[in-house]
Amino acid sequence: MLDNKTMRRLAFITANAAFVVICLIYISVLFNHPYVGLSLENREAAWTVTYSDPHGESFQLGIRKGDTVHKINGEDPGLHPSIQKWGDAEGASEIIVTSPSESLKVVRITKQSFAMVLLSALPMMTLGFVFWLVGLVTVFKRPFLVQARALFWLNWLIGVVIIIAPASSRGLLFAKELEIIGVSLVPILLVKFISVFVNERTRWIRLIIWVLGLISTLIVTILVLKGLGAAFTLGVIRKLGLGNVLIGTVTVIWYLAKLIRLPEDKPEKNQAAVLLAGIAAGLLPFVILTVIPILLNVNTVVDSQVSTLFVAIIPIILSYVVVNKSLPDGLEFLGFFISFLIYGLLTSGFLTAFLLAIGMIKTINVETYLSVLSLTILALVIFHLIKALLHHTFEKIWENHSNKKDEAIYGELSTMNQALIVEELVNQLGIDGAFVIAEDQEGWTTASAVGCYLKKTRDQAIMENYFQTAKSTMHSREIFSNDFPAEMYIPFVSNDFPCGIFLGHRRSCVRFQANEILFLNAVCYQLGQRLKAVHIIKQMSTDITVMEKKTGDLVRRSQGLQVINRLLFSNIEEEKKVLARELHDGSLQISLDLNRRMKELVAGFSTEDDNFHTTSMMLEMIEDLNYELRSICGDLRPSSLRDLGLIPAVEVMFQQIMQKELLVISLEIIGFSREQRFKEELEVVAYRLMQEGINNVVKHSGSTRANVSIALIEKNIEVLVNDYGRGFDPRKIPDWSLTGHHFGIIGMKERIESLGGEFDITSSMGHGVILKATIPI
Amino acid sequence: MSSSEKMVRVVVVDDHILFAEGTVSMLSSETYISVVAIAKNGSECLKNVKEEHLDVVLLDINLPDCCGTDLIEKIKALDSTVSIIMLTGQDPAGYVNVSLKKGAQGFLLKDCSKAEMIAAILQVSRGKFYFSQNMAPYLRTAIIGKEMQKNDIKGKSLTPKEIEIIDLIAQGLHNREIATTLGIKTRTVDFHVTNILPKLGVKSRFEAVRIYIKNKEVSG
Repeated sequence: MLDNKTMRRLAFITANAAFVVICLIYISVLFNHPYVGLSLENREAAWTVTYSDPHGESFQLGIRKGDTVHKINGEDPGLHPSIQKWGDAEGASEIIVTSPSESLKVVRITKQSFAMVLLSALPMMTLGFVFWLVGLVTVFKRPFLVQARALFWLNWLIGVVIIIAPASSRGLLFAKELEIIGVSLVPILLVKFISVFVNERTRWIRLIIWVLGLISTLIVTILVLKGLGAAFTLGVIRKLGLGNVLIGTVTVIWYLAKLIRLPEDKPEKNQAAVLLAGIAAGLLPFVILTVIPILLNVNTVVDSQVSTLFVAIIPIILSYVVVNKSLPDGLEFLGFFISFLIYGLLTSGFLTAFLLAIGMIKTINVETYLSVLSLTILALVIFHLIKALLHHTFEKIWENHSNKKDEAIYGELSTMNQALIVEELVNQLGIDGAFVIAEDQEGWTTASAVGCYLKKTRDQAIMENYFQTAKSTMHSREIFSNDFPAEMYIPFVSNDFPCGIFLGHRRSCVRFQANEILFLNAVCYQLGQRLKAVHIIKQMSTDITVMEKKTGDLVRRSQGLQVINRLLFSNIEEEKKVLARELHDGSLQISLDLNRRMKELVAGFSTEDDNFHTTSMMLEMIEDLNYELRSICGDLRPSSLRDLGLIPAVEVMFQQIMQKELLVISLEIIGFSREQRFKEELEVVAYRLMQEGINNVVKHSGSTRANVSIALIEKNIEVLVNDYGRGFDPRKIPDWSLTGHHFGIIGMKERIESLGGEFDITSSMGHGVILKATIPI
Repeated sequence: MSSSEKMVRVVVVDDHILFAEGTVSMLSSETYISVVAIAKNGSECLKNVKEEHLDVVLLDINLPDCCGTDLIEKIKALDSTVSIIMLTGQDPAGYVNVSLKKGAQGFLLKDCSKAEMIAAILQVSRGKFYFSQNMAPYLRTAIIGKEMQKNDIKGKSLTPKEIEIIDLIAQGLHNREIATTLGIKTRTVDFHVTNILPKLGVKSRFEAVRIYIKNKEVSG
């Protein structure tokens, strides 16, 4: 025995081949047999036309309901095989008929042209093809799904039935029988499909399938009997078949409705809703326009061919549901549908009454109502379709304006807000909500509730408690049962920034699957890292702001100090100048004069005189006084600096130092003459610099040699003082300003810089010191 | 003094009234000197030179409107026969050279005696140079031309006091410390040092020590 799989494939291929064959046969047959479309009944020994199909040739040739047929093909109608069997005049080529208004006429039914036949058969052909094709496509798209296979068979059967329909109406090649059987079998397959689809085989389903099967068998038996000559009217058989259809439909709808009442977390609910909506939409026209009239023995509102076209909706919807995993909200559609129906019913009712009132229609009967109903519903549907289309187009245009590239992932660091980051995640995952708790080093927790958790404070409290307890134990990933608000919990374990991430909601239709867990883990890990980074950035940002402020304060203070520094130095220099002048012009002058007079006085005494000694001593003292005053003036502010210039004053200074200290100073002048004068500030600062420099050499270096050079280079005076003493560690220089050591040199730097110059000290231990100053002239 | 000597006409240029008037009163006792005017600043001085027929100008370095040394050329330009004696109360170091280069013939420290001042005026009016006694140290340490080397004492041997002092200098003592050690005034020590250096033919203390030690090694 072949195994299931190969058997299936075989059946599959056979079915497809059979379909094609059936198509070809039953359509080619049409060409030679025009469709008469007459139903006859024997009333009072006369064959009356009970129904003349407007699609049929007879109608078009003038035969109407109520006419009496006398002869078909030259024979009594009762002898016509088709009449005997089905009560219709298929196969007639010549009919003699009388109508109440007219007299006898002979109607010749001729073969129609090829094109005409094709055209008339086209609707049904297309429909059948659609069914079969949709089934085929579904199986190709989802070859391993059992629902797809069930759908295929259902569609195949329906397709066959539809293809055969034209032939059956012409009563050819057992088409009618096959059609009736087919029609009765369809509900069975339909119910089977539904049961397979929702994966349930309850007793009810099986019972119903049984019932349907029973009825089908009944129909088959009747047909067989009929073929053998028993008398059953077509009406009975038809009613049985349609009854089957009705039972099947009702079962399916009831079952789907039951599914819809399932809780929200089951995906079947949505699927059932969509299916129901689709089936209802497909069948409703058929029911209204064909089934109800037939069951009530009333004329159909529209040709059954038109109403059957609507049925094409059903396979398409079925296929869609089978193929796609995620579906739009079916309940919405269902709601739409039911509201349509109710609106339609009410409106058409009012409309009918209105039309009656204004006299457009004469009587109320089912026909009129049904036609009004169908027109109303049609209008409603068209209206809503147009509305939806416009809405859609607008949205598309709007989208194009704002959202250019959907496919790219935008990578800008768009936000530092924890809630917004989590919201982005929720949107990208397509879940209903998420709740994230993060705890920083000081124990402050921040919680972000996004999506459906926004207002659910109780759920948030529950999750927060869970996080706190789980945190202290070694917690891990959890998928919760249905009583916990969230669907999944993924912890981000970290020493300084632990997070608890709760995803999904128990009442959402979106659920996580097992193969998505690793991916979710990775995503949550990234989320945790990002939140941590954002947290750190925020902290650093605060720190930076504080530091900036402090730095700003310090800079301001430092600038203030610099200004004070400069003012102090210039003040000191000015005071020295004033003091020197006051001493010289005042005290020294007096003392000199005194000295002179004293000399005169002494000269007047002889050496033996007592007064001589006294006055000689006084003279000595005065000379000492003069000496000291002169030296003080010279130290404070040498007048030679002002009178003779920088170089002469420096020479004098160096000579005096060389007399007083064990130091040999060599002075070099480059680029200008000895007598050249510069602006007073420059001369003073340069003088003081060299003074300070050499003083330092004397005090600290232990060197016996010093070189001083003054050069005029390109609008700058460059002064170099270097010695060969013990030097010092240059790294200590910054400390000098802090400790106050070497204040003189530090002060020099300030004074030189206030003139726009530069000052450098270079030294290394044991290798002397080089002072270099560059001052613009 | 011979009767053929004429009166030496002098102008005193100094803005210190006390000293100027004192000078005038001192010079008044000398019959051959006549102080024609006192000028308080440079422009008054030049005016006097122009208007009066002068022989000698006693010129203070420190004038309110200019430096005395700058005036020398201007005076000479007005009257080349005028002799100029520079006066100063402060340390004359540095000014001596400039003044002499520019044409001054004498230099007096303001605390010199009356006799010196009179001698300076009379000498200079006869075309000679004169420097007051208390100028000696400043002359030696300056760069002096050949004619100025009046008190050339290079090569002269050191006095015992000077030897004592140079000994202490060689030990690295400063003048004040030497003064304390020897029980004399700092000013005296400074004075001695200014004599020691030219005797040893050097201009710096350090070189003096070096030469002295070398000589000592050589000699003993």
